[in-house]
Amino acid sequence: MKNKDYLKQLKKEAEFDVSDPYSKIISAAEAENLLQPANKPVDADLDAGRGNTAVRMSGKRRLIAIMAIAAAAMIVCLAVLLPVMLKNRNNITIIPSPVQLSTDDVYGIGAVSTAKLLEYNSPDSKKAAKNVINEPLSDNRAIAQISTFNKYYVALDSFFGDDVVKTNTIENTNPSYPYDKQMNITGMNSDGAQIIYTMYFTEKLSDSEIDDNKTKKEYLFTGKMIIDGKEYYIEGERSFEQDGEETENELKIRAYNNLNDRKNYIEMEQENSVENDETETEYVYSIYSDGKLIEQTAIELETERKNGKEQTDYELEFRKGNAKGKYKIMREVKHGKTSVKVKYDIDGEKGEFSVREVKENGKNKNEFTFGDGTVIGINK
Amino acid sequence: MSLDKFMTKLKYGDRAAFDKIYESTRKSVYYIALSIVGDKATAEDVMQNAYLSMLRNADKYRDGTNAYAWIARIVKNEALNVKKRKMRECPIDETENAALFGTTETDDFGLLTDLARKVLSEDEFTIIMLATVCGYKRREIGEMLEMPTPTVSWKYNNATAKMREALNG
Repeated sequence: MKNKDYLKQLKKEAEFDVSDPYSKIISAAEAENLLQPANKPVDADLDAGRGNTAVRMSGKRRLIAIMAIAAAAMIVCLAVLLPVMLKNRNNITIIPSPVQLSTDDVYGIGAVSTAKLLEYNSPDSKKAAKNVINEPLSDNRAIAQISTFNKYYVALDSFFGDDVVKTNTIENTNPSYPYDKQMNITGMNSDGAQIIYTMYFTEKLSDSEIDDNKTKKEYLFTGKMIIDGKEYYIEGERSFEQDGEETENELKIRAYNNLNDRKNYIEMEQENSVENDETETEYVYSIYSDGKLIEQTAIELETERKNGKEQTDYELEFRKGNAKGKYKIMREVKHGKTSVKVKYDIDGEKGEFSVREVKENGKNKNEFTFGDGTVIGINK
Repeated sequence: MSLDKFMTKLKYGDRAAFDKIYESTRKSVYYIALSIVGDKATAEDVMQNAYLSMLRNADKYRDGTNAYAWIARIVKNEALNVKKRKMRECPIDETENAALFGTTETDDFGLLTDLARKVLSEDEFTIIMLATVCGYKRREIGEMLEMPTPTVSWKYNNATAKMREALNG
């Protein structure tokens, strides 16, 4: 039985399994005067500061009147302010808004980052070479785990910034790759240079449910990702669910070096939800070696535009054996320059370091500078 | 309206707010309780006590914090207290407390739910039910159970692997 089949069955069983002692709770609560009796209007102040004057919830008519006044006030304000705003366009305050990724963008980022992690974890990978520029002054845990941090940072960093991610999907005409579609995924280095990745894939609808206001669709896909001339096999599943105005997308991707070796792979699960204009995206990467889970990392990201500059924050939590760590990465682009600061908490040890990209002997490296003066360079 | 806003209204005894909170959290409260106490009847008692405790202490809830985690903590504490109490009062006659002795099955769970209870650890069972039945994301489950997200993912993966193994033989 497949995972999703028994998980669906589990959900169906739960409809009948879950207890519902609502009436008992209400009787007991009313006996202790913990709840207002039913149908009594509530005098409650919704403001976070308690102690303000209570606002009595009145009937529909008053609510409509309040809304009408508010609408009229807004129209008057716009009539007065709009001409001024249009005249002084450069001074308009930009309202912060999260960057929205399309389904293809999410697909593309997921596939590229998973393949890049696989590249990093390959036994013959040269990317993990580490040069300590200064001798460490302490056995700082963040320093000890910096290569783990670097591989996730490298996997995702080329996709964060102002309209950095672009995906373009076309019908595949390349006979060397027996797939239906070709997707070109564009990211950017911290020095502004574009990077393009190519993925060939075939996606098929595997399940579809439409019920009242709810729509749910599931897709399976297989393909190949090309990074720096090397091919990675990609397979996965994607689901889309819409319930009224809420949407939820889930994506699962596995990347292999070799389809004959299915015990060593990287699996990425991504959850993206849009609810009340808030977008949350979470990636969970699992690294399997000889069929065993050896490392897992969860990454959450939030991007906002505020006052002419874009700030991307992402939180990264990893678990490797008994080691656990949490990093909060703040990437800021101001006047075309990128700066990255990282706050960490590794098994209770807290600190900060900064990251910048440097070129050494023609190779790009990430340079990490810690508070105690330690500087570590790691190949990208 | 978010759960946090309903919690704010609940401080004034708003019944409609309680109804919304109950509707949003009933399943998760049930499974957190069940995973600790092991049987339906006791889980239902825990649910009642937990919601009443939530009502009595609604004024202690800090606005803007994580309402799901706050409620989950109340349920866990209540379930652990009930479990400890039952262990101390444990009757010798196993028919009086069949669930505790693991003898006669007194509950009628669905087949898969029953299997999950038997093969999974307490945490694994809670996580798989919260994710599958209640639809919570891993980060949300982590906040409820006060666990790092990768730990939740780790246990979720272990749980699905154990279920697959038990089902496929």
